[in-house]
Amino acid sequence: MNFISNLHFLIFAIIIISWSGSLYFYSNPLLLAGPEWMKITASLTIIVILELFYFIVAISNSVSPKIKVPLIASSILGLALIVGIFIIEDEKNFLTRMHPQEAIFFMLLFIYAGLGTAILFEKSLKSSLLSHSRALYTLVSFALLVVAITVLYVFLPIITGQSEYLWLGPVLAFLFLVSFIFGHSLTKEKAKRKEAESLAEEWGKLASAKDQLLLSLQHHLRTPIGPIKGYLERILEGTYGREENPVIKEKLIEIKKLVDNLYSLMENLLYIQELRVGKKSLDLEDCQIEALIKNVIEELKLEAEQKNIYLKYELAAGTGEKLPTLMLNKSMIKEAIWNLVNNAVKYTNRGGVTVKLKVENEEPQPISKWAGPRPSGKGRWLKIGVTDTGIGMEKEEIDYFLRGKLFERSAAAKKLYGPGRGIGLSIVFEFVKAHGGRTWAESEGWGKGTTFWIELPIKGSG
Amino acid sequence: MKPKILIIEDDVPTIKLFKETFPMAGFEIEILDLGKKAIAMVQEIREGKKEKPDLILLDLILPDINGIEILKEVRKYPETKTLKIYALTNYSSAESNEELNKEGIDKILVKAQYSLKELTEIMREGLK
Repeated sequence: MNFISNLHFLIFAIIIISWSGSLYFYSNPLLLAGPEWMKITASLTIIVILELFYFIVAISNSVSPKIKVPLIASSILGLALIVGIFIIEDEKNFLTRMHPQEAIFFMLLFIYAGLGTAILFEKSLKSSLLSHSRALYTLVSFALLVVAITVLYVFLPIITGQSEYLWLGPVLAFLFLVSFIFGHSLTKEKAKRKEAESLAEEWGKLASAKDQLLLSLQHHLRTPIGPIKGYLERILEGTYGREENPVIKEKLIEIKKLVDNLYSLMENLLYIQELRVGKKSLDLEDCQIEALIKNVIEELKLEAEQKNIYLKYELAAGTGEKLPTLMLNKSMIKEAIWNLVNNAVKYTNRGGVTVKLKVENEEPQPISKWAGPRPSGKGRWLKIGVTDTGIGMEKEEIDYFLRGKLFERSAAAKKLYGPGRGIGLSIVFEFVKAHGGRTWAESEGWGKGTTFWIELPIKGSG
Repeated sequence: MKPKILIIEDDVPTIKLFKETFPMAGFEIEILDLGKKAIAMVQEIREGKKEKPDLILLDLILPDINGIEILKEVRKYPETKTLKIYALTNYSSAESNEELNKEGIDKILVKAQYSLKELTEIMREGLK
């Protein structure tokens, strides 16, 4: 719609300028008999009103789209017919004394101005936001132009018998255009601002509704988890009697693990939410990253062994023994590494998973557009890489993953492994971001494995 | 003497679990499942009709009123002002924590976060 109305506006502008220019260069003095001008003015007014009415009806929603085009076409034809009748019936008519190009421009002007006004008028009826003022502005401008042109080309020549004021035509047209453009951009800007304001308001409402929802979810989800954990704890402690069947005991332990996972997943999501809204600050403590990684590997070793894949830790050559101690939120960073390693183990069926650790002293090449800029300043960076020999990722998928659609899982993962949680990466991304770091992925493509990197700033002397 | 614990809690499974666990851990408990009942109890304590509990475990989301109202009521009167109150809830937000602290809560505990063992340990520690 915007394009069409702009196109319409452009054509309108060209016609006004050409028409008034042609009148200036070609018009003869118009000498008409006394009552002639009344007749002409009356006819012109009737034409304008009729056309406007016609256009408004034609484009309004009460008319079915099928007959809109015929209606508009017939209205244009009607105008031509009226002009034709004038020319045929009365040889002394005003219009017969015009040059042919003037007559055509005159017609086109009314058609376009009429149609444009009608469209804006119709829009203003439908939309409370956009164009009451704009439609009114156009209507008034159009009326002023018609009055000015009539005065200039009909009244003044009749009264004075001269055409010496005809040069005012193009000037008036130009002024009209300028004011139209001004009004156009002004109302457009206003409309845009209004729209932005209402969008912002809407967004604010949605955001607070979401916060509310999450807070109430928090309460409702935690409530049943408490007793579930409590009863399991008591059963396993033997409060209700010793469980003799080792299989049942094993399954109960399994259930407890799952409930704990569910709980920590939920807590992490809430944590992310609170970080995002800025309600939470990090509780930082000294952290030995190597120990953390080894800890994660220890926890996931069994799973890797069951899948018959390796899971190993590798300190990059040259990193030396002096690994820095970082100020981190231990549980968050552990959770992030755990998620990456867990994912890697899950999506690898042959080969294995390697967790690498290295320190980079200088600003390396920017990795890719999607990784985002490093926080300002040169410095030392701790990089943790999780490389697997699993299904790999296509470039588009990596892009997709980092364009913020973190809850979407890659198409290949969905195909191969069915529905599962897509939350892990989101947790990694947000937790690392909260520490001023970055997360990104590298893959040679499908089937060639993936490396996920976490990069954390090393502050102070290390 | 067993320490007396007043528990204000409305979730039935949680109540059952507490009824099982806390007496075995050596606490004497009384459970109220409505905010109104708690307010009435505070009044009785004030009037000396009821013995003071050693610790109150207070849930925040109750069917009738917010737990914070109960906290305010307790802190309002000199007779009950010094009662030890732990918020034991599944609802935690920066705002509500701030308000609880302002009203003089002794501890804020997220229910689902602790095992029963840990919870009884925290209570014992608090009662020392």
